[in-house]
Amino acid sequence: MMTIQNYVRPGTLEEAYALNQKKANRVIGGMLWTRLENPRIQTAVDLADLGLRGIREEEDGFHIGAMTTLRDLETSQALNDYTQGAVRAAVCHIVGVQLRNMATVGGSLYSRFGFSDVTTLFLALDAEVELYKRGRIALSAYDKEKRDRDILTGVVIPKRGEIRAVYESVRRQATDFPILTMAGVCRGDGTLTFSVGARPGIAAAFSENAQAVRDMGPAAFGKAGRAGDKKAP
Amino acid sequence: MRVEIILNGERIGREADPDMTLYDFVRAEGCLSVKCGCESSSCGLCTVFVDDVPVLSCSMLAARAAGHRVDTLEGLQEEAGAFIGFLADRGADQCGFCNPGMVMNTIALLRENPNPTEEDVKAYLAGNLCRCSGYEGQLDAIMTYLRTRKEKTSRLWESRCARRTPWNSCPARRAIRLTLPPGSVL
Amino acid sequence: MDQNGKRYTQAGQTPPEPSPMDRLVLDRHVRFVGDPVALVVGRTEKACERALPLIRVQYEVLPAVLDMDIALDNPTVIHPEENWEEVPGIGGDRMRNLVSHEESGSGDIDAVLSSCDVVIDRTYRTQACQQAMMETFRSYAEIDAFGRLVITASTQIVFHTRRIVANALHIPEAMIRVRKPRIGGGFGAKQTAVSAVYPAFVTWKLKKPSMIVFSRVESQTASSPRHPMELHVKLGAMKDGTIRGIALHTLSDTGAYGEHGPTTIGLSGHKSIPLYGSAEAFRFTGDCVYTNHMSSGAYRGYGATQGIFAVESAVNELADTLHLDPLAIREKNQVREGMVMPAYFGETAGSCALDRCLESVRRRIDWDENFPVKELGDGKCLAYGIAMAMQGSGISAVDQGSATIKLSDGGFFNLIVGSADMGTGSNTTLSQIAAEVLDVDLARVQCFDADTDISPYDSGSYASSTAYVTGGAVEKAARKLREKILAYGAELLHCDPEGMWGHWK
Repeated sequence: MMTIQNYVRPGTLEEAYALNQKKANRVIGGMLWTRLENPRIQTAVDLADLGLRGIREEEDGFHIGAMTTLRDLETSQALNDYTQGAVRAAVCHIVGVQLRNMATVGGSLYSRFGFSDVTTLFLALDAEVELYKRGRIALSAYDKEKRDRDILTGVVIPKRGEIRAVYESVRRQATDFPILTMAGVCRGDGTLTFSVGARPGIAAAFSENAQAVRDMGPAAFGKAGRAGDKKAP
Repeated sequence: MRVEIILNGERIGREADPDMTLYDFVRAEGCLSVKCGCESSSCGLCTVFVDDVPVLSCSMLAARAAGHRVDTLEGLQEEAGAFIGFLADRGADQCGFCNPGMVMNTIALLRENPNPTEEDVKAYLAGNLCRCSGYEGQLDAIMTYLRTRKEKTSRLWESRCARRTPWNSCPARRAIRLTLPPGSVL
Repeated sequence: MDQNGKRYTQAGQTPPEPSPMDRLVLDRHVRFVGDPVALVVGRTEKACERALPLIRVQYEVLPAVLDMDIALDNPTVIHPEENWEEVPGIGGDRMRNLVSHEESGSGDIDAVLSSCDVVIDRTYRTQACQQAMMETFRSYAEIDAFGRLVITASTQIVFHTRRIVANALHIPEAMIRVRKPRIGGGFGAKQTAVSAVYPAFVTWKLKKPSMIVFSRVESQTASSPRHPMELHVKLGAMKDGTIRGIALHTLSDTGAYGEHGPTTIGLSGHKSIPLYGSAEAFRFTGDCVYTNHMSSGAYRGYGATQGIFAVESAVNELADTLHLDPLAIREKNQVREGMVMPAYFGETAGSCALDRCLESVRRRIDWDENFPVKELGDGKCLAYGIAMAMQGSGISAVDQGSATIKLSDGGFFNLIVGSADMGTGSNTTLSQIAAEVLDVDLARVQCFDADTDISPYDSGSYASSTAYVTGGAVEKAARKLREKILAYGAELLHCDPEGMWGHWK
């Protein structure tokens, strides 16, 4: 049973960040995974009033606020046009519409779970997370780090021309956690970024000439997996 | 802390612990249609609307919903009334425990997409679990409701024309059918 | 806690229960992960949650028995207590971890099997499954104005629960009232009093209302799932497909407590073997053992499911071995109406439409054209298979149902029963029976289930009994009432009751 002593809705990121430095405090985004841990929270820091929800298409890419829900991603015409529906494919099997109306992209990326459909696709899309203090860093680097107390404010999917994207997952039952996830993003210059998740570890990706990846066949899975190996150079 | 919510159109405030869920809040205010079937946000029984969006009340803090509109089935009787008769006719409702959440989510579906296909219905209601049925009854009921709703529209036309001239020889009817926008009711 | 030693069972069965009396409300000997260790009572859920980590339990860990194959005669004895009781005839021996043993047979099975052209010898294993009804286990208790213990429970068995609580708390049954409101499914899970004893105890002691609501996790780990079984089938037949002998040995894992162990194991044999009327001989033996798993319970099928899975799988393997059509083999060997069923306690199949079922299936899925496989193209195919099953409506000579019907001054009828509608629609069915006999609109029959103070006795809703047994009582009661109304009406109208029926409406 989750317990919370205090509930605060900060009006500024600085305030939210300051509160989050205390170990006993927790950021509240979608709260879906948090409640499963039955935590004892001293102060719940609700990010709802920080204007972090929204998908903005700019010339350099899609700027997605951390409080953007998975359902927002699922129904975004712009994002799905750009990715030929891969974004929808990545989230549409997650539990149900009600949950997706609450789960946030920030939570999905911050938690760095192996089963994350979102992480798998966003890796292949070369996404960059935006952190309050540290600024922008590549998702691929972020995924190798341990969780810290910086606040994830958003994620950027860079646009470097047209892409062809695809997302697939294997699930034992509909709506269940995936047991294997994969995404492929092919760019105009002929490179393919291939990412594999639920390995059962967190998703990992590698980029190479598209034809070379095709020629690899199933071995591509292994190569993606090794890309995620922390011990590898 | 004091939490104020516009519950089924009425401004309701009460003292709530910071960790009180929206589920506990609405039930404390008498909305007993809202049920709980799990503690892992998996089953959909606790579905309520927050600002017309279907969410899991068990997984939302009442404090998060403060200042927002919350609707439960108690406040949506008329809208539910349109199709729940079809559920009953089909025998789709057995123990009834999953029913409120499923009806709520069906209302949400039909608001978002008034003409869903079977695949649309299955995808939208995937987050509503039921252990008594195999979901066929609910699906059949909704599709029958949609079909009947369509037929009612065209039957109204037929009955109007039939009063004047026999159906086959009613040129006016054919003309009206072609020009009337779909879904219109006379 | 002074329990004064006498143990009880939580199983909902007609007494004398064929279940061992092996439970205490709280036992110092805990037998599975999920067995209650302490009752924590607080004003709020939060208060209880805060109390839990303050309790430290010291366990002396004994070697666990987690495999039914090694349970019998295992050095770890799961119920070593001397006050363990079981009615005679069940064949249990607690020091061997044996809850029940049964043997039945007819003819010389060994001789028959050795003279068969082919013997299919297989062992099948079935797993535990959760009923997982959407509403978890929950009950609450209060003391009423007369000082009696009133329990409201999500249950299929109000009368059995009353007796179970009386036995658990060592108080008279007369001091207890059990009610069942609308509940969210059961499927057999609630044919065991999983939760009621705890608030009953707390409220009886503290004289304050108390409640318990099992979480989903608790409903999965401290409940009453289907018995895992190991079924060894020996099926003997001739080349032409005549099945001449069936032998089945079932090993059943009833977990930490006996409950529905002795009864479910029986169905594994008695509801599978009798499907084959052609058999000259049969043998069914069963051992139900204790293990340190969750205590198994009732789940639709109640042992028949496991037995039929095994026997029907063996028959399909036989068909495959003999290159015969599995449907044809069944048509050849099935039990038919009028046959005596040695494996079903020597009863006669007085009502049996199995032949018509098989014929209907053959026709409706184009069996002859499609078996074994229909290619659909695109790398997909539809495979065809068949199995038969049998079920009874209620436990013969054991289940009981009753009904009270009142004609109210308002011109409607109160139908009061002790069965339990759990989504099965039994209240509607029973109302329809009454309405048809009384020749009134369904809306004029108000069905009430179930309250031990108000409802006439009913063994409860399980074993497919309610529509047939309780329904039978409803029909009888409705007919009686109709006669009474007609007689009274005839008196008032000064006419002959015989001619009254025409004027009924």
